[in-house]
Amino acid sequence: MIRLFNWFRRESLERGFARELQYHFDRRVADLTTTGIPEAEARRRVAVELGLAQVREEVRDVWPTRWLRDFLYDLRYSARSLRHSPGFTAAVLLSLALGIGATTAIYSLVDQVILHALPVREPGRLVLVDWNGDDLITYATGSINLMPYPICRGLQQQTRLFDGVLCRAEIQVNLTASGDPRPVPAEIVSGSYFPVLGVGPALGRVIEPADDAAPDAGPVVVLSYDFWQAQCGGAAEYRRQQGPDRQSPHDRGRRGRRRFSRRRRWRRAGFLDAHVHVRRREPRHW
Amino acid sequence: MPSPRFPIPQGTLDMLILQILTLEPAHGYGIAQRLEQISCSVVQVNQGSLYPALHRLQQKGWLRAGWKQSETGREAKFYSLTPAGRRQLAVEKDSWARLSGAVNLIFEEGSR
Repeated sequence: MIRLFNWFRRESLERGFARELQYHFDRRVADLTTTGIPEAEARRRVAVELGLAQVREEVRDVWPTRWLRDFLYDLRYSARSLRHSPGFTAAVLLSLALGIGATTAIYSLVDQVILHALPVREPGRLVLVDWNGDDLITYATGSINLMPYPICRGLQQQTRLFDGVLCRAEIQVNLTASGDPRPVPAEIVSGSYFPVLGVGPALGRVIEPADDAAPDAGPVVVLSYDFWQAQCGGAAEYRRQQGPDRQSPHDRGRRGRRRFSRRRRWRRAGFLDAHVHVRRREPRHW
Repeated sequence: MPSPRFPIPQGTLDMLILQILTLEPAHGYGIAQRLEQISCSVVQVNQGSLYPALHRLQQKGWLRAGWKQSETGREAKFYSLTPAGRRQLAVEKDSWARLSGAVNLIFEEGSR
């Protein structure tokens, strides 16, 4: 498009310049013939005087379209020479690819390890224990392996390998905060989750080991700071705002999470600190 | 014997064109003629080099160009000075004055 425009512009520039030069030429020839020089001789003399071919080139050099044309010619020339020496081209492409690839890989590593360290206590000491079992759980977004809870509990009880063990599973829930229910990414976590990560609440309390003690012992939910601010307006008493007789947001949460509703009633326990977005964590960091 | 003609010093053509156009808009041929007249044929301007200079000055925004009817009745491309061109002329005149003044000083110093 731009090229077309420039060619078009160039056409009009060329036409205008030809007219301009012709005017000069004719006037000069006319002036010379009035002094008695025959027209043929006058024309010859003016052509020499003006140096027509050179002037045209010099004026074109001044036009802004010139560099574009030269650039296109250069590009074509380099493409041609690259095609004529495929060995050289391959070497260049390979070194470019390797260079860019290596830089990108190193940067991704630096990005994850240094720039995006987890905002938890001693993130470098966290390890991810994965499970290659057959219990594939399929979600709309893919499938994950779930480790049975008894094994998690067993790991939690050992003291030889780890200072602490937390369990988590990502899930999507339908939550009604204000208005219509909408899908919200959530995590089901063990009571050791917050103590092990060393993360505290901005308000209220976090999920504690005591919540794991018995079924229904601690039906609690912790909202991420972002969610609390965006969806609940940062209200300290979120629950009360909904009115005691109406469904609390936790009941609504339960309604959305049918799989767990029989076992647990959810109650807001606290809000996370401003810089913690535990829900966003991707398991590969661990 | 007519005095020999000097080729125009490099870089001064732009300044001369701007100066000529302070009087009134003119086409290329007119500028060439006036250069010739004003300098009493002492300065020799290659007629061809006038046009690259004119187009360059126009690119820089110091000149404006438009087609108008000339004195012969035929349409010609007339150049006129823009405010930026006027400012540029002042700058160039100033640096020219300083340069020629300095050169004069050196000559006077040397002849003493």
